[in-house]
Amino acid sequence: MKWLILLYPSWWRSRYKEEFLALVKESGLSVRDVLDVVLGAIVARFHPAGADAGSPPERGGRRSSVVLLSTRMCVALLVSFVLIAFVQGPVPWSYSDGAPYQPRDSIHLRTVSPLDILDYAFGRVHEHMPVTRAVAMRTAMSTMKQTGVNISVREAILAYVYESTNLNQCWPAQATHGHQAQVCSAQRDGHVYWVLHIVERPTPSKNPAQLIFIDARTGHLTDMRL
Amino acid sequence: MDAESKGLGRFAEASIFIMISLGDGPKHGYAMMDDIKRSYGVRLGPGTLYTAISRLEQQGLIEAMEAEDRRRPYRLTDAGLAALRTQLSSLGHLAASGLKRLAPS
Repeated sequence: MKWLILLYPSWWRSRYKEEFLALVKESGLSVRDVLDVVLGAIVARFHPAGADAGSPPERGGRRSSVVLLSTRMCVALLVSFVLIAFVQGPVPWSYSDGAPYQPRDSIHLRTVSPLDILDYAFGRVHEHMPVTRAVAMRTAMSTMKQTGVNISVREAILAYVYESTNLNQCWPAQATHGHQAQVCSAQRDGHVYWVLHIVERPTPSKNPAQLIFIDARTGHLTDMRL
Repeated sequence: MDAESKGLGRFAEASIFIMISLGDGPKHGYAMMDDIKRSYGVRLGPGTLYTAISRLEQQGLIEAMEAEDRRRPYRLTDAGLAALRTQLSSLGHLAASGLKRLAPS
């Protein structure tokens, strides 16, 4: 994480670098800490007190400092968000107070907007799943819709929760359009699938398939069986 | 002393935690972070911690001591000790006033 230090101005690095790295080595660095450091670097660059610290001004004067700041900060923020979204891996499915999961209507994953990523990054919305899985879930819902079954966002999220904790389990899904369905999670050849089991279809039906296999990691349809 | 007026800005809370932590003796960054977490349940991120340390140092409220290995302890200056007393006294008055209003009449 030494690259994070480069975000700070030179006066700050020359003064605090060693002890700061020692602190990070001892305390570790969570994703939230990375953002905290990025924000700290922004503050350090804008805070005029740096000039009072008796350090030489940065090469090129104030104008080039601002340009450098903009470029470095944009790159840093972008890298941070990408890291957070795609490297962190699955988030433990529980609320911040440790309460067991209960479906909440307020959970929203209809779009993965930059704001969602920000929320996720700052840990304000603990119930957010990793962005990669949210995208897969949207794809899975779209896949199910193409097979004639709509399940709600809430049910899809429930599927994810069960998948994370109880592989090879089934649970009822309140599918729309008169369908009665179960969603099951299953593991086969090292892959995790969501299996949509259509218990009852409204008549007439365009698609007679009763078992619909969806790759949980991509959300794509892999198989349909009667 | 009012923290805002001393230019601590949004890091005022972190600054006060740091000064309180240094109230019973010098500490380096990690020791402050650990002490604040154990005593008050507040975890200051490394960026927040060092932003506050930097400001407190520039304002002469804390001062760095000789580095031990790579870790550098800090201690309260006389000005910092006085500022902390004033700040805590002010917070004490605020708490007492608030509790008084909550008391059944």
